[in-house]
Amino acid sequence: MQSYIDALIQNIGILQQVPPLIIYTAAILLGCAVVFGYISVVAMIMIYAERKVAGHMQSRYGPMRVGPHGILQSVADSIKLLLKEDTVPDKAHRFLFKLAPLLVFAGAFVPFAVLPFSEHLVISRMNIGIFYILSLAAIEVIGVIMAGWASGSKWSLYGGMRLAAQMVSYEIPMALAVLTVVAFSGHLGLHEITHAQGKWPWEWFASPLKSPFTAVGFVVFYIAGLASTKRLPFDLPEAESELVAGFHTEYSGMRFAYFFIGEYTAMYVVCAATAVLFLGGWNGPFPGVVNMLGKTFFLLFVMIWLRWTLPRLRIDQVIFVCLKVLLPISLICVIGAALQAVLF
Amino acid sequence: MRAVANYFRDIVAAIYTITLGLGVTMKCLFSKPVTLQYPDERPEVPDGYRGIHTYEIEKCIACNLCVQICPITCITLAYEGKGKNAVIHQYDIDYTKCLFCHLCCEVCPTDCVHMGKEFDLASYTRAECVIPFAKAAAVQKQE
Repeated sequence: MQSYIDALIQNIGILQQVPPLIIYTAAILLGCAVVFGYISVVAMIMIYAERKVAGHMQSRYGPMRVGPHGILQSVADSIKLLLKEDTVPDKAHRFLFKLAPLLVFAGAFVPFAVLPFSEHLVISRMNIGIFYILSLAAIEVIGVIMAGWASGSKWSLYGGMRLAAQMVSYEIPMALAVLTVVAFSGHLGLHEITHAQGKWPWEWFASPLKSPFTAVGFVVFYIAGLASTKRLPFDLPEAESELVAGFHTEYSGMRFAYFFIGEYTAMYVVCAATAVLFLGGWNGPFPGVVNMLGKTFFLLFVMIWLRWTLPRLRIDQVIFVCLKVLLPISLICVIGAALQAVLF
Repeated sequence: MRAVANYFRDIVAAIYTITLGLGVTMKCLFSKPVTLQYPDERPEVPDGYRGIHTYEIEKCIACNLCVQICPITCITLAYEGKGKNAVIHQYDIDYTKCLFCHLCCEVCPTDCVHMGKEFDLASYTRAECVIPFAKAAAVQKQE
């Protein structure tokens, strides 16, 4: 990205008069604005798609009133959320209460710095890309615990604590599943991982033909991703029937919208990361961006599909799946993948 | 050894049942929804449905039988004269009370009151739930 800006400064005469610091800051802000616009649009489309798919999976129509087939429903909802009163409970810790949604949103926002859309359409070709995504996903946990604690409500606190237990434990199999891929690509950068995979499905890491260990790792990574984005069947932190709405019970209006967009953005990030790591990223029969977005949105559809198929697990079952099923399986996969990478 | 076998059997069973469930929801995704867009689309009401009554004022002989048999006295009948010469001023049914028991229709000697197919009773006041059949008939006649 910096090389583009440098080229721009060299080619446009007026920009040479301006101090480079201002140009870089402006470019950073512009990049943030573009990404923010993209994720708000994607979140709106996904919320609409989720409601529509949910409706049809339950043999009903879903939103139908706002616009043709309810296509403007998300727009109406976001206007409503913007105009709603912003309340802070009396017992809440005001500063932390207001900071928490921003932290959660930031945790979901920063991975876009390294997520590639195609070979060249990427903000930063960081050489530790996947490590960066995994480590910054942890910011979200802090934000959620902060929201749960600062709300001054028992439901929020339970939700925050459950999420902390769930996300921290699911990050272990997630990271181990990433290691299976890293064993083959030999690099943590998302570009190098993508280049280690070919154009066709049997050349992807998700295919058992390439390596059975990464194929299992793909499933483990996706399930752990479901859990870390609090999607059903792992949506214990906001289980409606038990905890009202979990950690965001006390939030309303714009602050709730931050949580909501943050959640859907985190889903997008997990699906895009899965697509890059295991499904060959932008490799494929179509132009790069189409491949990448197609794979990402297919994985998002599977997330929605799973949500409207499976019931919610109990918290002990959630931890059981993580510690007694995914963790041993992913450990075996890491060892197997390492042996295969060394021996073959 | 048995515990290990059970562990793997559980995992296989979980994957198998999840696939089955996904198949069911996928089938529903592409089947026609069973719900209706209510105010725009109306459900088809079967024959013999007990909805809001229909009343034929020209057949009515003001015998008062329906008023008497009504278990919750939701029918108000006001008339002058007797038999076929009777002039009916008022035939109101209060649908906040009516339990659609069909007794008024069964007892009617001239078969002038029937159960209709209309079911939409939403209104803003309780008074609007009392339907004045005689007045409605008079208005219809004038028109």
